[in-house]
Amino acid sequence: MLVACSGAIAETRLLCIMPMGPYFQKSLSGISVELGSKYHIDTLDVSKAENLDVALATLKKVKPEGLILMDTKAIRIAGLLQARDSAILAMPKFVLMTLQADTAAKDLKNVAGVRFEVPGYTLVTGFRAISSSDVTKVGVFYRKSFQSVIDNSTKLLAKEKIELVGACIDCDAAKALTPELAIKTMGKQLKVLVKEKNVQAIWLLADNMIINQESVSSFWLGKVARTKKPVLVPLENLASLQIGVGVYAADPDYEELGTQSAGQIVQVFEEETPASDIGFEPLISVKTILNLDVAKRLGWQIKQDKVSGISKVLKSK
Amino acid sequence: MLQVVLYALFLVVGVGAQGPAPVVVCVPGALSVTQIQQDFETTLGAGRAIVFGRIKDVENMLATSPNSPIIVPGEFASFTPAYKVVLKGRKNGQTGQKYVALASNPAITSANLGSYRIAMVDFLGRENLVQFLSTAFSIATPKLKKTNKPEDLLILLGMESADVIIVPEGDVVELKAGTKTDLKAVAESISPVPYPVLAAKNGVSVDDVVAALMKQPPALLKDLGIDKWEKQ
Repeated sequence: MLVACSGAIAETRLLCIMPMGPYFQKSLSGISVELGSKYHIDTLDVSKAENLDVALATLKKVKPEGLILMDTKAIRIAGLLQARDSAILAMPKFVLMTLQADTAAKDLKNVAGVRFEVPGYTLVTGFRAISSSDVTKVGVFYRKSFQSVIDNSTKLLAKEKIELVGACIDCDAAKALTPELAIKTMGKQLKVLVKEKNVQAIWLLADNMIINQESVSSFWLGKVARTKKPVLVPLENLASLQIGVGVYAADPDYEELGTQSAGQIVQVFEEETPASDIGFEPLISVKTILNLDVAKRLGWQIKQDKVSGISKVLKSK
Repeated sequence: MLQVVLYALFLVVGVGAQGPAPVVVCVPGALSVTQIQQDFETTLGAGRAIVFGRIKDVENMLATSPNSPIIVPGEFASFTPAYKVVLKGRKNGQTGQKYVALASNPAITSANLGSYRIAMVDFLGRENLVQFLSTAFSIATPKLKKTNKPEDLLILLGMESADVIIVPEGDVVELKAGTKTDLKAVAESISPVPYPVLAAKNGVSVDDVVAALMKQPPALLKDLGIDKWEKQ
């Protein structure tokens, strides 16, 4: 932060490189409200095209002290910018609203971020909190590329005395996994999870090999639905009245995601913590969705005094 | 969204209007701001109050409506010296409650609390919260993770993004019921922290608000987590 001659503290200038969709705007609003008047945020729209010359011109005009990056397009531009200019290389960068943000931003220097994926810990413990029955064993299908996610979730859930039973669909595979093979493998593993391991619920991982158009109808709404086990889903539409794969879902709270990112910005600019020391944090705040039609179909009892705490409760008229 | 609409309406109608400034209310972390807004309108009349769930929104609102009376956490009022407390909330015969630091890590004690990451619901604004932790818990430079939603506190602990959570004493039982980790109290605030208060600037009349609140409307008392209002 600069101190001007008058003694007043100058604003810290930030440039937010982002698409202009409504969810991105919500996150930006969260950042802006939290940071207040001590910070000034300019925006660069990358909705339509990534234009390095436009980005360079904007940086020259705005002279930001830090970059906020939303979406992979913004991260790509930042990568190109930092390759051109050592000042940008050193500049703190804050990543959010990006799937697999750690991986997407791996080539950026001096970066902090908030992961976009709703943690399994949050989804499972949130479901347990609203359920009349205790939840102590949850199954999950996953590919080996998600092993670290499963291992971390297993560790965190164990502290809450919840056992996560993983079913890897390609760990022992002799041939390359296809969507059809994935469905077949999950079908066999479902029997093990339900009949041998006695899981009480299934966490559906956001992986397009596990959930796709084909697997929704033939597997999730077919075999899994017949087990009457609650499915906990990472996307609202999967718990919608129209689709009804899941009984409970959690989506990022976009505005609070912005607030969380703002916390990192404050740490860097006011507490002098390097962005790279902060690294990538898990998403904390979510909005929850409960499909009462599915709960009724499953015979799963919900604690009535907890329903008011759910962001969206869905029920057919 | 409702708050944005109300704020905009206030700006359009209130600027230059002769009526009193609306009461600005903050119930940090409230689950249903919409319901609380309706309860205030039922008690005070339409347009007479605007309710927020985030203290930051109150700060922004007061910048444009400096003569608005406020109903805020009592500690927040202490950081606004231009405002004088008119009514105090009371619960179980007390005008405040202690705040408690909870942790499941047995290595954390009141002596080393300041070395750990502390999560709290933001009821004061960042700078005031830092000051509060210094005064109430003797933590000079806290590693603060603040949140606007109480339901995020256990997630912060569970996801290992925080080591300690600091909450009002009255919330401890429910919090402990929400986790199977062995959460223990490791410290408490030096003094009780005041319950919500009604405060106003000198020269701003709040007689109508006082009269309405002193009828002790049950819905509002419940929304604010108190048993009754009493005059300062």
